[in-house]
Amino acid sequence: MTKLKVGPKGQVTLIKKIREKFGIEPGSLIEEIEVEDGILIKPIESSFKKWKSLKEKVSKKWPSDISSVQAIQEDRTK
Amino acid sequence: MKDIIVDSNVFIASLIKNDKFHQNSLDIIERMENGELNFHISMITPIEICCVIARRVGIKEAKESEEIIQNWVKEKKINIYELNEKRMLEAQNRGINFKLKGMDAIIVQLAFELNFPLITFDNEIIERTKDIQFFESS
Repeated sequence: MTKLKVGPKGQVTLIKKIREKFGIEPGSLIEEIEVEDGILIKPIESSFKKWKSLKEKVSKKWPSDISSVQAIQEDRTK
Repeated sequence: MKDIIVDSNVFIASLIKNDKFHQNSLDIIERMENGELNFHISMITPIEICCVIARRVGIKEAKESEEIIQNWVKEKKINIYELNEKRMLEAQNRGINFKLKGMDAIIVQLAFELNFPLITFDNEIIERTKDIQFFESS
């Protein structure tokens, strides 16, 4: 457990190890959630990061014999 | 910030690692996320994306794609245009003049109306459609 000191405007600096572990970079968004015995700080995953994670799932199951263009063309033809 | 019209195949290509247009499309989507590009899409595009993923991959993944696209819409990074009577009539004319498929004509109509470059990987649209600007990403 790490103790963090609160600055004059309520700022706290997350330690490097935690920032790296959760991919928190300058400009990243985090949310603070009130829980029963304190505050939970949670990184907000960007939509692009979610899209890239969806890419991994889609790529695994996508049929190898069809391209993106063919898939849309087929749907537009049927 | 540059405004572009985006065809459904760009989104799909960005989700398929071994697609010919994968890296190109993913870069374009990243540029939208970073605020460099502003996407304009027809209301048929999110429908096509979800249906293509649901049919070829699965319902869970299709719902996920729907949610992420909705987030981009909320963040005003993607603008969606509904299909109304005026657009229908214009799309019919473009379809007739360029001998396009119905859904292709809807995308092309939007490019004419908004006068922004269109990005599509579909050669049939590129070859048949005259007098619109196509977006060159590189």
